[in-house]
Amino acid sequence: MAEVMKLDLPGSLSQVAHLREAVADTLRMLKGVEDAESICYNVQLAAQEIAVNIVEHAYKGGRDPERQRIRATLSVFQRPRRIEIELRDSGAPFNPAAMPDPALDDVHEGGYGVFLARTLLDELACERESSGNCWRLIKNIP
Amino acid sequence: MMDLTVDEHLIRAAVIAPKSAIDAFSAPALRERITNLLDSGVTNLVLDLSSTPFMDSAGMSVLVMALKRSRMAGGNVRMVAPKIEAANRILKLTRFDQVFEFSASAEEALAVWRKA
Repeated sequence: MAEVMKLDLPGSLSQVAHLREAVADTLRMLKGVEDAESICYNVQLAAQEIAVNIVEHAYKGGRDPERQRIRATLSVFQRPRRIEIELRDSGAPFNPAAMPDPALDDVHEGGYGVFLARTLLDELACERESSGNCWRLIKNIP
Repeated sequence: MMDLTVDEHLIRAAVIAPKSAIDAFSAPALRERITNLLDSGVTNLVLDLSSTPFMDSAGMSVLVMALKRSRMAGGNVRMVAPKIEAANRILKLTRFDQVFEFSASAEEALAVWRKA
């Protein structure tokens, strides 16, 4: 049985912090999680990076945030314990597999977003649906 | 004539200590603030992240910009690490910890340059 929270946000960078708050609220439903603060930070960061990616790439900077929405469904499951986040947009297609990991021998001004999300989560997928993209973020929680 | 050597060290340094999240929404303002400081002649920056509650990759991009620009101007950036352990781990994951120099506090960072 999952506990589910839904959020419908304007596709604007100014609104993405609400998604971070929703991640924290959703994870609070799981009791007795070891290192809960770090898990929450990592999931918030992963969700943040994908939502920013939606605004900047799918919505090309989010020029019409009232029509360009980010529809989020956050679910926590007790057995096995995990959080799943779906982020839907109605923007341009995006293929995360085409995003190479940044070279880590030096620091760069960009290219860390999808890398961080991929690294911090157990699963990250983006599927093209008829009306847009559906990102699926899964973090297993020990 | 007295035999002496005079070494004068004048270093313009600024301490930047964000107390709220550095994310894709707030990062442009931070970038502008740092750019203005560097344009005004500041060469050395302390980025004190000890009270920064959250930072995403857009925030990290600003750190890299600050590092590159200050080194181009003959200066450097010293970082005070975030208190939040998860944020520290992100800096390690992306190997920022191997490129930036760290101090335990802003005062300690400034002292390094005073001694130089």
